[in-house]
Amino acid sequence: MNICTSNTIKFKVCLLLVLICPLALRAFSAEQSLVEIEITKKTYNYRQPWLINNQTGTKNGIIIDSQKILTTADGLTSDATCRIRKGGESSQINAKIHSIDYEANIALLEVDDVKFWKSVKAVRLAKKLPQAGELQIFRWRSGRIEERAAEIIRLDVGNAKLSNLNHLILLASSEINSAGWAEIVMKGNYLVGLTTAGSKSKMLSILPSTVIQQALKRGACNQGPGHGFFDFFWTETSNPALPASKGLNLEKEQGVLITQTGIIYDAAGELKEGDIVLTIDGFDIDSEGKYIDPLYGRLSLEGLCSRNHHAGEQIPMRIWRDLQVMEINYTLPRSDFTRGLIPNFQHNQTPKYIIAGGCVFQPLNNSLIRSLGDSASGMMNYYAKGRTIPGRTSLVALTTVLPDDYNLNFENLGPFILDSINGVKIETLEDVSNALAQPPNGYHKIKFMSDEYLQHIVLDAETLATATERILENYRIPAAASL
Amino acid sequence: MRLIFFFLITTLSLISTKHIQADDSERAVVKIVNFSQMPDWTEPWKFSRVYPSAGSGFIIEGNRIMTNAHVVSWSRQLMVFRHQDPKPYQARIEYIGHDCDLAVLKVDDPAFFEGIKGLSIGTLPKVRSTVTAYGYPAGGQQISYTRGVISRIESQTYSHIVNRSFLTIQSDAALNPGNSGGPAIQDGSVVGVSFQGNPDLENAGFFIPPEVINHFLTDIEDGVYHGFPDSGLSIVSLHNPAFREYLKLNTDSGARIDRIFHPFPESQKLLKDNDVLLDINGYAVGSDGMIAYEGNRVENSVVFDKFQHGEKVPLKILRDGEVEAIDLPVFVNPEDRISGNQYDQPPPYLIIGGLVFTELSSDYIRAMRRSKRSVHADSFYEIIFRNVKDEATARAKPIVLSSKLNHPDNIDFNISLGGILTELNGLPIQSMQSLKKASENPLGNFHQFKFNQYEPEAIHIEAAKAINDLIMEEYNIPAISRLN
Repeated sequence: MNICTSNTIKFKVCLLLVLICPLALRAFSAEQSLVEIEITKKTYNYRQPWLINNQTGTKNGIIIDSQKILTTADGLTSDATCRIRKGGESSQINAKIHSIDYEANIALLEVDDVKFWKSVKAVRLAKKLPQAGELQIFRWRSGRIEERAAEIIRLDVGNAKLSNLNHLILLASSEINSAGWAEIVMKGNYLVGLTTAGSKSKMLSILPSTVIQQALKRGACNQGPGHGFFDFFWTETSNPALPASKGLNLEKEQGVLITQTGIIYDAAGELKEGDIVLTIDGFDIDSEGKYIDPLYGRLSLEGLCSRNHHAGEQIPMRIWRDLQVMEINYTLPRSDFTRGLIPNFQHNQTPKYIIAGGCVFQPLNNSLIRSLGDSASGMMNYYAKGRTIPGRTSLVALTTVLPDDYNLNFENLGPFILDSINGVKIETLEDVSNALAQPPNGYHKIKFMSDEYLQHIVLDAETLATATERILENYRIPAAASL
Repeated sequence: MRLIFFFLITTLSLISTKHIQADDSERAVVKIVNFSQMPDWTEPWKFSRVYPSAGSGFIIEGNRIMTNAHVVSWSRQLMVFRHQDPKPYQARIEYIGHDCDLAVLKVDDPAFFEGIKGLSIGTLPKVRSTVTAYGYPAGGQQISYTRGVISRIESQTYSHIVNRSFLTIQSDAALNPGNSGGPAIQDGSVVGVSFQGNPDLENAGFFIPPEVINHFLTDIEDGVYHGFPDSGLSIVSLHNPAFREYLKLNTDSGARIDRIFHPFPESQKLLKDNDVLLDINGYAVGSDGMIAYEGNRVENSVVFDKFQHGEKVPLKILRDGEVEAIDLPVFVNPEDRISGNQYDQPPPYLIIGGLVFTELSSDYIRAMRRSKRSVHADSFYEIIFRNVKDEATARAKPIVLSSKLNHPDNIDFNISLGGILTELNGLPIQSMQSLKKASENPLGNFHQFKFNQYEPEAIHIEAAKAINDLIMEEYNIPAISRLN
């Protein structure tokens, strides 16, 4: 009996060792998985778009399967020079950028040097996110691993850092300073996510591993289907009078009211202003726009666009319209942060401009508005808040005038949004270029939007090219245009 | 304010012990004490506590007192004191011009004017000449004299109204709170009324010039104050040779009309964008848009400001290479009141189910900021750009949700304070009147709102009635609406 017992114990120990050994082989080792990435990239000055500087900084990366280094897209450009430093080594190894997904804020790097891959371990990504408890944060600092504790605050749905994409975000509190540069966040041996932002209130935003895995699967950066998003705005129906005024029986149904559709793309006609959305993808939507996620509990409906679907797929919805319930399929448009009247984000792009007669024309986007600061016109700030202007898909501004005899009187002009040049409606720099090629009666007539302080200016057409040449030389500007 | 009140009490006990021989100018300068009460722009049925403040004034012909409008604004009680005389006299506002910051007061007791000769209004003083400012600054009980040199004469924003600019005299005479409304005297005549300073400048005090004073006095001759008319023109410099050539301009002078604002139908009818303004009532307009006026280069608006409401301003313009003479009628524009500071009339309001609606205005935005509330981006846009859209927009008065008096039936009303009400019960909302009309025509059993163009909300009409009845009593609201 004893022997028998003894054998049973031995068997159990052996079984445990058999089970533990693979885990032990994949046990997380920061020294073997975490790398420091040095990035040298071009930076631009939107106030003087012809100026190019460079900047070097460091962030963190983590080795994942398929011999790739995972990091966030923040601070990376496709032409950046990247060098990797492994733990315990002083030398840096050149790395190539395999892919950048600005929408989801992830990037993959490759290293060709086979020596690099010796003695490194790939980390495993957590398939389910913890919702409470402690986490460990790792990063390289001065050639040594820094490990800090963090405590989960909550799981939420929010905007991606570099786009308007909505997805799960893990919020944690930690004493770590200056975080947000892809410090890795672990729970035991599993990668829970990468930090994307830190705040003075010690709160960390973490891009969760589940979102990373979905993004890698969708391969938005590699011509995959890309991320989908809800191209509509909605409002809560917490005030029972609102759905009741639409005839909805609140004893039976709840939902949120659609207030605007076709924000970025033309409305597909699947949803209309005034519809009440009752379910999305089979999940009941409550009056505050929340659904019960089977894994993570009560979350915002915004997360349903990325939870289980990619761009182009159809999501079934039940809606209340015209006093009856209807079933529709909502086709997820592809998330594209470069679209919109005034695009929110510019990544991986040199600023575009045209200089003509000292007038600097630039496409209007949020990077430009931010760089203009207090000089931005009231109209720019107004339309930057997601407004639309009927008949216009994008805008161009006259941002500054380089003083010259040619443009006398207009030295302090702008920044103003263009309405037309020589009668041609201006939406892009190509429109500016084409319009300037067709001056009627020897003059260029530039008209600004009606909300701007000034309406019109006129410039001489015949001497424009000579003046532009002289101005470029005088101000040492290498080219009259960057398109 | 408490300090000022303290000085007033001291004044009453001390002044009677002294009597100093004074000249005519001194005797004509009076001290004004105003007890005022301002409205609450976010909860418009409320008024502030009573504030005492002191300023100056001077007696003009016809037994009247001239002072600044801001000295006597929102007055509940006005008292005036003669030079070296402790007796308070009750005064009342006869005319007030908030645009030009001037007012005329009457004192019913004829004893107040006994032995005092009214001051006469002189002419625009020369730059570099000397003036003496009289007044009762800092709540003092003795008249104060400060001498200064006229350093500049040009148009400046009048901060009492904020959205108008008129000719202004700048001097280095020390002007302090309480000097407001007092005269600047040169050779025995009033050549300015002290009215504002500029914290960004050292030793700079500003006077309202005789041009503006006389315009005000002429205006009130018919018993009504109309105000300064506006041409509605945006006149900009025209230096660029190519632009001048394009407009077929052969001379060195002339400025360009860049835009005609709304609602100025006469200006819209008679003038066009890119007309070149050559001459205004005999004053040649330079390519910088300025004119030569009494030895000063000043804004062309100074000539327009000489005309009264409804009068015609003779203009010479160049259009398509031809010089044309135009008599442009100019009118006071009452529609721009919401972009400036408002006085006299407390804000209108209408309460529907505990939701308080009022007119969007600069005063309202300032009140929101004072109470640390965020202001919707649309609010600034609506106030600033109304006059460039069209006549109907320029005349419209946007309505905002200014306050919410919570009740279980409206507590979940999901609109932020400051939201602009664009539609009610299917009707567009452009004024308090349209709001009232729409509120009388609910859709079925509900008032259905739309804010900021896209944000819907609703309240049951029976609930709205019940809430209104309840909150009037609970919050001591005297009336459910005041539409002015």
